[in-house]
Amino acid sequence: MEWLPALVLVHIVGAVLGAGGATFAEINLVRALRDGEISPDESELMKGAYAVLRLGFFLLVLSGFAFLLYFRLMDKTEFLYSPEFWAKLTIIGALSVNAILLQTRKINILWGSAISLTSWYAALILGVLRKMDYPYFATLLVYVISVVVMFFIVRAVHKKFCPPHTTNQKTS
Amino acid sequence: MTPLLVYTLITHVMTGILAIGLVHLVFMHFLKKAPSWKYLQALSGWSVILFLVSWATSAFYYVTYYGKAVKPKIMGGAYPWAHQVFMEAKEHVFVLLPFLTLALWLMIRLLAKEQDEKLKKAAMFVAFITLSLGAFIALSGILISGAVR
Repeated sequence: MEWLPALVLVHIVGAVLGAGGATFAEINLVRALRDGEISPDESELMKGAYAVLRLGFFLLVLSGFAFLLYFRLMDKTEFLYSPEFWAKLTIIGALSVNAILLQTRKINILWGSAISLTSWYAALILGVLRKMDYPYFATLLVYVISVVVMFFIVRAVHKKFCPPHTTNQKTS
Repeated sequence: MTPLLVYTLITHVMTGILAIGLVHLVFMHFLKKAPSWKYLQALSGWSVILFLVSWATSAFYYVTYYGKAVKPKIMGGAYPWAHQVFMEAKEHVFVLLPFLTLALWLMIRLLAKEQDEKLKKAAMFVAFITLSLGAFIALSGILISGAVR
């Protein structure tokens, strides 16, 4: 049985669910904060988006390690030397740390949202565009710039739709 | 590599990753205002079982195959430090994980019976340490696999 197409499929489904979950988590958050308070219905919607996001993360990490096994067993370890792989691993690491910081309320919600959204879309793009062969640090530089740009976008959206006391809060 | 060894390696990696994932869930759930102790007990209990399975399969793989076939390749290759530093650290640190999760499970059992803020903080700390060590071990596994060439 050929495992690679199944692994690619699960990996991309994971990235798509994560990127979609992160997008809808942000949309639901902005909608919920519009009137300054989160109702039980809005809270339920957000919980749904976070559940999809977590499922995406789970599939992404699990299929990522399945890839690792596949390449190790097929003696194709050169894949593990690709800068794209390490860039993606770094981004997934940033995503995990960001999730913990958001949950422990140690990060500004706007920065947390910007990191989450950028990381998920970066994982999706890196997963779909295989064998790009861009240097590791160049990829990370583009990622960091994208996080900053995303922060300004998220801040602008919050400023437009949410009351000031909710957008200026330090925590979620 | 025989099919048995292939399945052993797959079981080792997948159960290890699942166990780390469950500990991650436990840690995140601890941060909630009112954690469900029953849910946490189930998650930590499964992580103990999965770490033990990962432990047993890795031991079998290490003794019957890694030492004879993989280690010499790494030591003769361009990245001998992958074994000397990371595998050596991994095989010692990994011994702690089933016991840490067992301690976590016991702490959660106690917390389910009686609320104690100090114990809750200690359990969270154990979950965080287990998660950090698990992440280190998973990363080491990637480095070691990459050094086999």
